Amino acid sequence: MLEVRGLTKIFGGLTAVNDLNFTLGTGEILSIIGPNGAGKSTCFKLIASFLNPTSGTVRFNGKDITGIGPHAVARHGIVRTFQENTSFQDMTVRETVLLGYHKDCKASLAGMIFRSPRARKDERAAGDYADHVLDLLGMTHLANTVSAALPHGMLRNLGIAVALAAKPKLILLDEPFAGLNSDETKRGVELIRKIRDEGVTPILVEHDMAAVMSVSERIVVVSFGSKIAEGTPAEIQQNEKVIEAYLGAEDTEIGL
Amino acid sequence: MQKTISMPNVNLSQGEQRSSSLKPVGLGLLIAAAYFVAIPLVFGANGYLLNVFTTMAAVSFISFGVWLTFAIGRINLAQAGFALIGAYVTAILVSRLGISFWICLPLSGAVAALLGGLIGWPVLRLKGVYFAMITLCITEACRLTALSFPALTNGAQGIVDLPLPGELSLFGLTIIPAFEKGARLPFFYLAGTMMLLGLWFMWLLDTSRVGAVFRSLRQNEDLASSLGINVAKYRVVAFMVSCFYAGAGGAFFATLQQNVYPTTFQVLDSVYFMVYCFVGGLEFVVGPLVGAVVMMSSFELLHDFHRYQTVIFSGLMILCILLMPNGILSVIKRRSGKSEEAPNA
Ligand SMILES: Nc1ncnc2c1ncn2[C@@H]1O[C@H](COP(=O)(O)OP(=O)(O)OP(=O)(O)O)[C@@H](O)[C@H]1O
Ligand SMILES: [Mg+2]
Repeated sequence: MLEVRGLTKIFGGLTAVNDLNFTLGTGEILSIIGPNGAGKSTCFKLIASFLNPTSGTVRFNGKDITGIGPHAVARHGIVRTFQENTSFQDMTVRETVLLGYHKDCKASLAGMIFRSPRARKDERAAGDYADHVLDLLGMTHLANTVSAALPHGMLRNLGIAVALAAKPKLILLDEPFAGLNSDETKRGVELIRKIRDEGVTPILVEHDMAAVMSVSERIVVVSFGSKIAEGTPAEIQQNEKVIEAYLGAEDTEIGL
Repeated sequence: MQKTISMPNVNLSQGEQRSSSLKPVGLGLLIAAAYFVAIPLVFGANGYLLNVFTTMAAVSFISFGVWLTFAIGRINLAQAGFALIGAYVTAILVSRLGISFWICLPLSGAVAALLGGLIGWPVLRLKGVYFAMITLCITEACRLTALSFPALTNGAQGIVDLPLPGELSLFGLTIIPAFEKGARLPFFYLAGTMMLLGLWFMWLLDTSRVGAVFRSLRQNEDLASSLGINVAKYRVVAFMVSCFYAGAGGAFFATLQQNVYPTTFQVLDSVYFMVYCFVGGLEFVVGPLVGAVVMMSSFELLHDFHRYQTVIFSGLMILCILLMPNGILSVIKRRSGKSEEAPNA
């Protein structure tokens, strides 16, 4: 479904992503891990077209989608979430999720403004889908809460909810468990399986190793922008290079 | 880190949803009744006051556009520039080609919107101070352009002695009779009609999905684009609608004054249009109208202070913005919000 070939991004002199190759099958749960600054988020931004790669291509279901722009990528069915809490501050949870559905609205601009039958049909569909998504994430009771008033855990969830509302085929989750407690993380892992069972293929970038090992079917490890290993969780745990990369990273962290 | 969710927020938004369909319609009717019935009854004989109300309505109309660009998170100081464009389009077409004002009015809006789209496409990538600065330059550029093409615009002499609007008829049926020389009421009614139509459209837009998309752009363009929303397209659409309001409003003023000069709309006017939005409140569609009415009436009421009029007025304006940073309507809303909450508590 997704095919990343020779993906490279150079910021000035810094190679953030270096000749990255990987593929992903429909319904597979893939994780990308690596020490801080390894280039994981940059890789997501390249796939989602928030950044243009220096070289390399991204193909999705056979189509070249490299650098076509964020909204165009979303319309192909790839939606990303953000590493930092990202929401529409003044909007309620439900309003936010309704907006997530936007790309599937068929009515014209004028139709939306003057409430054409098409637009009203869109709104009903959006409403139904929003209710479904909120139910899936256990956020129904928060539907009318303004985003700015949400606790951290629910903001992380809202990020996923709004992305799901856009009906993606592939969802790029950038550290969905960052800052969550172990209970919330456990529910998050369940959620990712549920999402997959609904027909949305997830890719995770995540630092919580326990969660990554339990949920992933395959793991890609990057360090300094390059892929250093790829395999099942069991294989990755045994991999010499991976252990080295993480130990190296820990050294520098201690050094800080 | 666990914060409890504050309940007033929840109550407030539910309350808003419930009453959202009835209240605005009532408010619209109230404004219409006040403008079309009460004012002519009370002040109908006072030509000067009728002119003031006419100007108020037309200026509110233009300011609605600025309000919409605020909705997408841009401070728009180009409004006077596009109003000048609209004014010249009408003046040139009416005086040179003898085209009916009733065609020129929407056409001026359309021309301004089209130019706004062309200019807006690259410029709308900027935000904050940068966008404000460049739109200010656009207003100034429009004035200079009007000066530099005397063959078309008659330069600093301006285009004068524009004819009054003729009769508007459809299939031989007179819909609007020709405007008579010296009569104030026709312009008064025309401005009111434009203002109400403009307000109605803004309200429709703001409460529609398109309005929600606009507000999402103000809050986070990245998140919006990640959801498949074509950010560039929507902000250009917002800007074009804004420019349409400017263009049509400019056409109205050109015809009201029966002349256009490069100085008819200047940077200062752009600033005023923006201030009306601030003073009224950016959260509310009627904000620009409230702002324009309050500001312009207080200016008129200060008339007796003669040469201190502008100084006192400017002081009041500063006070207004300092004391009510979210506009007059936000204060009223907070008041009524409190009284509604009381029974719950
Ligand atoms: N816009 C940018 N301009 C310049 N350098 C950047 C930019 N974005 C990222 N970088 C650099 O690229 C490298 C990779 O960053 P990236 O955010 O992809 O890391 P990451 O793997 O997501 O790290 P973390 O786990 O901390 O989120 C970092 O050294 C970062 O400083
Ligand atoms: Mg990251």
